[in-house]
Amino acid sequence: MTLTGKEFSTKKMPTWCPGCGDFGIWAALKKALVELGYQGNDVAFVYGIGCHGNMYDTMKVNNFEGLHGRPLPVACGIRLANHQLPVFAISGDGDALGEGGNHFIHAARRNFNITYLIHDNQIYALTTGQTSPTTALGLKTKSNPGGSLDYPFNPLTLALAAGATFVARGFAGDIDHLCELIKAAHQHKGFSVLDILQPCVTFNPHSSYTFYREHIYKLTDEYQTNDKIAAFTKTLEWEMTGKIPIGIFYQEQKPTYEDEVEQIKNTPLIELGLSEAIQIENLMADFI
Amino acid sequence: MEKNIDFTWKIGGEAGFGIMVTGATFGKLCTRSGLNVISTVEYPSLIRGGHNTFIIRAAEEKIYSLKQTINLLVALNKETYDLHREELESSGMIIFDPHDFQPEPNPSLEFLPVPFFQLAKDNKGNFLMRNTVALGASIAVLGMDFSLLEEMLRKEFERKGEEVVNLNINIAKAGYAFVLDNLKQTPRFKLNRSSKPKILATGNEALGAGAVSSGMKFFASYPMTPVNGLITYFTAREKKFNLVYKQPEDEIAAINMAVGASYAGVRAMTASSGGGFALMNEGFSLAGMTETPLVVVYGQRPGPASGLPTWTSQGDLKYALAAGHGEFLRFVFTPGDIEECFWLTKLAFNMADFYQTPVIVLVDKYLCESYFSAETSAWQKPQSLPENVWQKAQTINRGKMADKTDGNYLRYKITEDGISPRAIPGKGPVFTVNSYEHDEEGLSTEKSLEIKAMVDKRKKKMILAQAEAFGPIEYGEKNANLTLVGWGSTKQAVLEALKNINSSGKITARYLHFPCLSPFPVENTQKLLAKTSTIINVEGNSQGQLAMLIREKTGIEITDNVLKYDGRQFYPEEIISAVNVISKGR
Repeated sequence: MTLTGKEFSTKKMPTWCPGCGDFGIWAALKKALVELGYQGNDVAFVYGIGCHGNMYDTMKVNNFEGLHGRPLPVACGIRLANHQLPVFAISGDGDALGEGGNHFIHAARRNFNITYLIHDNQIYALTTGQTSPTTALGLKTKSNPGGSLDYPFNPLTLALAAGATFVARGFAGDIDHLCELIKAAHQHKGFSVLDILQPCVTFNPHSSYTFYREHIYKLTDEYQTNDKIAAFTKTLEWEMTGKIPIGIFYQEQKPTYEDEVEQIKNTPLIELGLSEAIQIENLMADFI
Repeated sequence: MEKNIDFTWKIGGEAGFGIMVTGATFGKLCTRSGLNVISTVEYPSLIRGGHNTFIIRAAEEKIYSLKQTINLLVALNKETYDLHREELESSGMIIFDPHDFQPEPNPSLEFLPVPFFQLAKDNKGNFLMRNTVALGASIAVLGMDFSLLEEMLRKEFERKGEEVVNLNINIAKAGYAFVLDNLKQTPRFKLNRSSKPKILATGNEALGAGAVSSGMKFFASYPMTPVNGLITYFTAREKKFNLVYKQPEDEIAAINMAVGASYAGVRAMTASSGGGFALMNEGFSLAGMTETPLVVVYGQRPGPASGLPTWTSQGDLKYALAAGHGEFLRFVFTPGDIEECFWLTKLAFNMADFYQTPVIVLVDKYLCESYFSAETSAWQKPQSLPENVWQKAQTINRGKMADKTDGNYLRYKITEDGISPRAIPGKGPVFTVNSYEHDEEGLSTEKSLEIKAMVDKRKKKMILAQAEAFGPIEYGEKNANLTLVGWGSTKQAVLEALKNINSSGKITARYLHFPCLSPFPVENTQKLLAKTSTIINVEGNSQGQLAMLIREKTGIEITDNVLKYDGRQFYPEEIISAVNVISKGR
């Protein structure tokens, strides 16, 4: 059967603003699923709350639409219950880095095998335009009409520092390139972070398609993705020089958390039968 | 054997002296000698330097609670003597090391100096092994069988090799022999090894065993007193039981991980105390909205905020009943002892799956961390719960599941009873679960009719679940003129008090114990309270939250309250004296 991407459509159409970067991410994601050979039932998607999260209505896969900031712990729970089920976690800059910052750090250091896509539009758009953790210093928003006083932080540098084993940046305006990055992120065994520059045409005209097209460049094959120190330096390039690299910054092979849990080494938890040890008589023996 | 063996033993010392393990060992010595055991530990939130005690009451007859007085005090330091000598009954005994302190003479007490440290040293032991000397000394005084202790030490240390085993046995024997040589009278009792096994478990262990026997496979819990014992119970056995414990970064992650695992198809649980549970509230509501089965153990300690981390309370009842924003079905079970902890956890898993909703098992520090004995039959078939509750709890029931080949599967299908068949991702039809309000397919909706239909569907479950309410369980004299009401671990002190109140002949009293507070057993409560003139609410909080709930649900107003909120559990003496005062005023 040839998949075309339509298999992943639902009865709903997206509710994003015309021109939203989420359309590009949606298209790239569906293309990646087709090229990875997945059907809707082969995967589970977990979403946070934000414009990114509204994608679940238009994706015919196993969806879990959770809470703001919390897609990762749900995704970790799914992985531990059934590590044969591939899991994508879909998040945004407010969701992943504000409300969910703590979960981000810990999922990264544990190296759960989860593909983590951060729709990074540098603004809280669903709540109509407040400052996010990646909003540029001084940008005037509804929550900082005089300009943001908070220095933004760099999700890629943080991901590296926290121990993510795959760190990349994509651009919603380049669907083919983004699709390749999504596939690479997913094929990586371990916690893969893909920060996606997503223009918000309504609330953040500062980070427009034009702005990104003028400043981004693609990392070439000459760039070595296995050098962590070089990767740290590369993640800082945007704030140091104004040039915005996109592509894979870093990748390393390490055992995943799920690989290291002895009970589920051979069989996913959900397939493990109930052991004899849970019979009441056997349980009682510990207490007599 | 002498008649009416009933003694209270207390050991005290600095945190780090091994008080907890010594107490647990002594408790098992008692149950293996055929005695019934109730115990508790008291400790501040410190690792070293604070004052720790372990109290055990052991008796031949069925006992439900500790007493305020003690018979045998083992003082591993002077502070223990200073703080607890007043608790000794007349003719009580203090076992102490004369190198630590010299007690003041007191003709009504018996002093037994035992050189703990010297005896440990003489047998190649160190300062921390004084408690092993004290164990040997204690069993000599009480007339227990030394071979029981020898056996337990062997089992505890066999992993560390024969040398360590012998070292511990020799040190215990030194304490034992020293006492037999120096005791003025014969040992107090003659206790033989019992042939009838008894369970000795903490509330945490009973909850854990209940969860395991329910087929729980995933547990996520951020460390917090008093539920850490659950983590220890599971992690020590996770390979044997085919389960996974994940330590999360916080309680928010704990509940979301458990929800994720449950969505993916395994029975999942989380646990915390008040502060941690506060962080879980949004995730609790998520389980309600997404209709994901979830069991939460909630171990109360005094609040607000950090409160008293290592003490007990029943102050969070109203909070637990109203946990999570929005309208959805929440079960709250309130077990009173290790039998109920075991069975109500099993029931919690079946209710969570059947109704696809979160269930709280609400306990407290006293119940979670204290050791209690029970007959082995308690975990085979409960004596204290109605037959139909046992039947519902006994076998694993995962509730309605989807037909795997259903091409038109709707996760939130509107059904007669409000329960839609559940599916497991990757194991059947593709589906969406959604924290947003949704249509039958799980896709978000803001349409008036669809919203109302989905709220009605969840409400149907609330109405249906009302039939699951059970209790209150009646204890004592059926036609009593005085009725006590309570929930949770208060049950134990009240049952102990009832023995005394009803034997005094002046008052006849009964007790209504509420092991299930949501759904609330409205009709049964009305029926049972209708025929009583005096009702006294006994509760470990300052407001009388159960009395408030009974009034809300039945209109019956209870004006007499016996309330305790100093971090300690109830003692039967306190209940007896309060009942006497209240009944005199009538």
